[in-house]
Amino acid sequence: MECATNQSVLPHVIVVLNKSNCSLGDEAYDIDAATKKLLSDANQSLTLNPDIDRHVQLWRQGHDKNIQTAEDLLKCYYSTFRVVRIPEKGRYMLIDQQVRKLQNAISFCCRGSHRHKLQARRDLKAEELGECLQSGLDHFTASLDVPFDFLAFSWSQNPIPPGLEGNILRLALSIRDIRGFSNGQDIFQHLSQMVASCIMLYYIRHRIRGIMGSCQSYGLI
Amino acid sequence: METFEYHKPALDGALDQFCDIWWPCKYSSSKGRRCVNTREGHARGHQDERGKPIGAGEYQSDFTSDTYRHTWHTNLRDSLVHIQKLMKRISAVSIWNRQSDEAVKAAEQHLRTMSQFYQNLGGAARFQSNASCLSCLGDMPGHPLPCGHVICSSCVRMFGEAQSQTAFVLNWCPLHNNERLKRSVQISLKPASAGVRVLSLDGY
Repeated sequence: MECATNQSVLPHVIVVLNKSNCSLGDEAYDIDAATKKLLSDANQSLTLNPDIDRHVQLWRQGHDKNIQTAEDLLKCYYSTFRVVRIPEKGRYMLIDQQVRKLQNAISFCCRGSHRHKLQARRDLKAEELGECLQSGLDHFTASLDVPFDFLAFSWSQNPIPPGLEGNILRLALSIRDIRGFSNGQDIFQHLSQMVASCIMLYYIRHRIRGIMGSCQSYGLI
Repeated sequence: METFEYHKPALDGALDQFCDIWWPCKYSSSKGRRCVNTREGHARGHQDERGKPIGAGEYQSDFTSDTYRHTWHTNLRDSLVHIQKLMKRISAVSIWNRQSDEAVKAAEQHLRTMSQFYQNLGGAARFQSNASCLSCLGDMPGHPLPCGHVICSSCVRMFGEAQSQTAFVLNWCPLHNNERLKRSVQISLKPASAGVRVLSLDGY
């Protein structure tokens, strides 16, 4: 979890239990039932496994999260958690059925992830996915202690566009970084007179009619 | 106000992007560690700059585009009106052989506004950009100055001394115009009527 900041979407997890015993009942091969069973069995490890207990305490102490079950803990790190069993050899119809279920589960998770990324404006095109993986590799081969910033990556791929909107945004970000303002109102308060003057300059340069007419109609000149 | 309405989409767009994409969460842990995640990057809850989780919960901020938009619009409109009034008072003393009184007044007033703006923020030297002309926030910058600032062709025309239609000399940077540059900068601009020039070295 400490490896990344500004992540817009939590990943999905599908656990595939391969070579499952054929003598298990049909219920074991139902995704929802198998997921429920595995999570229920894992509840004990919250207290018995010291590594997992450390994560539980991290969320409990001073945080708002009340971690009571394995599912509660997993939801802190992942969007969804599913278990798919694939039987060992012999039951070929069942193998085929489970493989199809696995395929559907993967598609479902991909669609959900893509939808959330679209909403967060962090969806990746095919060529950007390669860039993202390469960027992650470059980052973590340089340091394992500094988290990967998804926001910085997103804007390296889609930089702030030129024009008045982008330039105001860049200047606002510069003011934030250089002066360390913790109050957004202060930044835009400073900007308002400068931006207004730039707008006036724009009109003088481009000679857009209306400004002087407006000034006259408003009794300003 | 037509001036303002024309640029409103860009003005609102800048505010929206700043608040939605770039402004971090205001949450601070009991040990004083600040959350670094922004509104669109808050899936993992509150995290500090090391990535350590410091709390669970949604993005928090007192500064949102919806709550601040009205103030932003009011401040800009008031500033525009103020600038127009100031321009009326400026007598058009042409220092740089400017084409029109209007342009001279606008240039002089803008220099004053810029000077005050950057002084209030600790000096223009602290602000550098190759992607934005920090003088006018308009065109793409293309003319570097010895001070490190890069300005656009329009600012060269407006603030430089015209030697001809296309040749200008700048003795000071518009961003900190109260001090001369270490050396004057001669800038040649492509004439507006000049077409694209192509040099073909393909051997034919």
